[in-house]
Amino acid sequence: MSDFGDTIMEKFNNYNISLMVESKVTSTWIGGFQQLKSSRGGASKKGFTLERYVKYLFVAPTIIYLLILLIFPTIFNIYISLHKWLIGMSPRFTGGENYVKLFTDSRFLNDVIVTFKFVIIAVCLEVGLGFLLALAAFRVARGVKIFRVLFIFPVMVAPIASGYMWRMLLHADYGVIPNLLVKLGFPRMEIISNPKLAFWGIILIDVWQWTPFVFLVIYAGLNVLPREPYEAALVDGASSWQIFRYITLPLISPIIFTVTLLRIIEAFKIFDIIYITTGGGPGIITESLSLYVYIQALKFFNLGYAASAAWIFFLMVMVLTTLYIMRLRKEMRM
Amino acid sequence: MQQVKRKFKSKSAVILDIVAYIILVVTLVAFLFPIYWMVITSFKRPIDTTTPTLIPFVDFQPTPNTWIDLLFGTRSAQTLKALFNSIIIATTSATFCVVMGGATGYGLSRFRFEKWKNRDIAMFILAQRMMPPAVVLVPIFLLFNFWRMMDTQLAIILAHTAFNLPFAVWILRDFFEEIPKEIEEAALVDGCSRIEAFLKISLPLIAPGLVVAWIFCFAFSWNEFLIVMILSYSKAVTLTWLIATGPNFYALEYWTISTWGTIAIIPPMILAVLIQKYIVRGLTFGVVKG
Repeated sequence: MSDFGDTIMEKFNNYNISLMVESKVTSTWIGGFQQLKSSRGGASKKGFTLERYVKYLFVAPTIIYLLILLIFPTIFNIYISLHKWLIGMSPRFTGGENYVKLFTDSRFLNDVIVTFKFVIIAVCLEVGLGFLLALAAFRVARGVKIFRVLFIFPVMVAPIASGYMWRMLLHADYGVIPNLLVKLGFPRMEIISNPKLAFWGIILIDVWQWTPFVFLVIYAGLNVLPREPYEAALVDGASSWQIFRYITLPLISPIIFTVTLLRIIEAFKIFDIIYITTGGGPGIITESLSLYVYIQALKFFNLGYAASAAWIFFLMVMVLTTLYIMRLRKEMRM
Repeated sequence: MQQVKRKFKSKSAVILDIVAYIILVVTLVAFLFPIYWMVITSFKRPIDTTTPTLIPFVDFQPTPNTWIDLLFGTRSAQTLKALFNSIIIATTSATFCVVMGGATGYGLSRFRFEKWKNRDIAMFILAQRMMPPAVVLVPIFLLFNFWRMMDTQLAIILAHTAFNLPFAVWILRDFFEEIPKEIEEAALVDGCSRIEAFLKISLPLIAPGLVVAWIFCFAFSWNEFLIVMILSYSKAVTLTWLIATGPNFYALEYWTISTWGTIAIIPPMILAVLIQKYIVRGLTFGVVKG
């Protein structure tokens, strides 16, 4: 009996029977062998083991890769942050000194506020405008395909290039926008180097770049909404505002949520646009956290201090990430 | 919904339609203008860039001089090196992302993991996507310095792959979730191994997803700047680096930097148009119906 079982089991291992069992393809055949297997207490483990571990083969490369190039650096970051670590000098352990310095550094605190202000304002504008555009496009179905194609362009432009475009457009003497404003009767103004306007210039560029992305996602979402609720509402004589408020909005809100999440994640990383337009200036008015870390590390060569700022930055992002992942799980029922 | 609505079209609905059209057209023009401006600036003579000249042949005489100079002339070495680096880095890292991301996305959608649940792994990977590059800027700098890989294409490829891989996993997992498991199960019953089922059945079915993921990863890598800046200074620099540092060397040479900018924005745009249908479908997870 045992010999017979072994041969048959081996044969079946080759045919991946274990997976069939896993995927609940049930027939008397398999049911029989399953019983056989359980009665034999998994004597022929080899084939089953291989099948069982194949799944790790699929997932392991990514996990290992991320562990080496993202997780390890994140942890190593803490180690660096506890040292006075200047480029070209041997690091010296200083404990929490960097952190004490950091929390009394008005430049760092300013950059935290700038970053949060930027994320909140930019993402609100992008999602609001993108939603409005999506509703407009959804309303007038004709010619929308061309809108959809053309709106992809700003999304695909490198942020560094879009920053440069706007730097040209906003140049006080040669730029189109200041000249246009002069023609409309406004005084000639420099936007990028104006302490009052520089921040809004950055917002403008980011909104220009990412609103089309929000539009594309929400518009696509609107197009796959189920039709039945609309038909029912029309039969019941609902007004278009009611339809929007009680049907469209609840149905589309998971998609708006997702796109908002994506935008917040990306907006926190803001670096390129600021780097090429204002460079964080005038003064430190438009300096984001990414820029702060960069400046500390590669302008002042103070790696330990930069790492401590990066670590605080990481904690802030982590809190938001966790909050959003909790929401996402609920939305996606994962 | 559209068809139903048309039947009951009132005056206010028509007005709303017109308003919607105006909003769309105005924003579209506003959104495309900066790109238009950069492209025409690259064809302007230096003198024409000092005044806001809008329309080629009317306001100014376009000239390809800057393009010729940058691609074949005195500054061609610099431009071509950056272009070549951008192409190598973006294609390689996008391919890495899709290969690893495809396998992992498949693994997460087809197998059940016990110790760490699938959703935990998926969320763990997604969390990596949220990491701002600046957070690991210092360790990455030290790490690649330690490996003696500074200013090499490989260093930038590896770093870009790390940052884009979570995106590839996440998007491909969604594509795999869409295709019915039964097709594969049938193949497995017929004696196909799990890896064969993955390569021969599931992968072809999500081919559009792979293209979409590849193009997104390509564009992310092509457009990336911070990592490029910290890991390279002369040999491995990309187009974004050239645009960013250009103003330091060619202060107001708008025409020069606009040409670099135009070169830099063309490939992602063309790719996006080629797959525009799939971009939207990809974003809605609406692949492979039926």
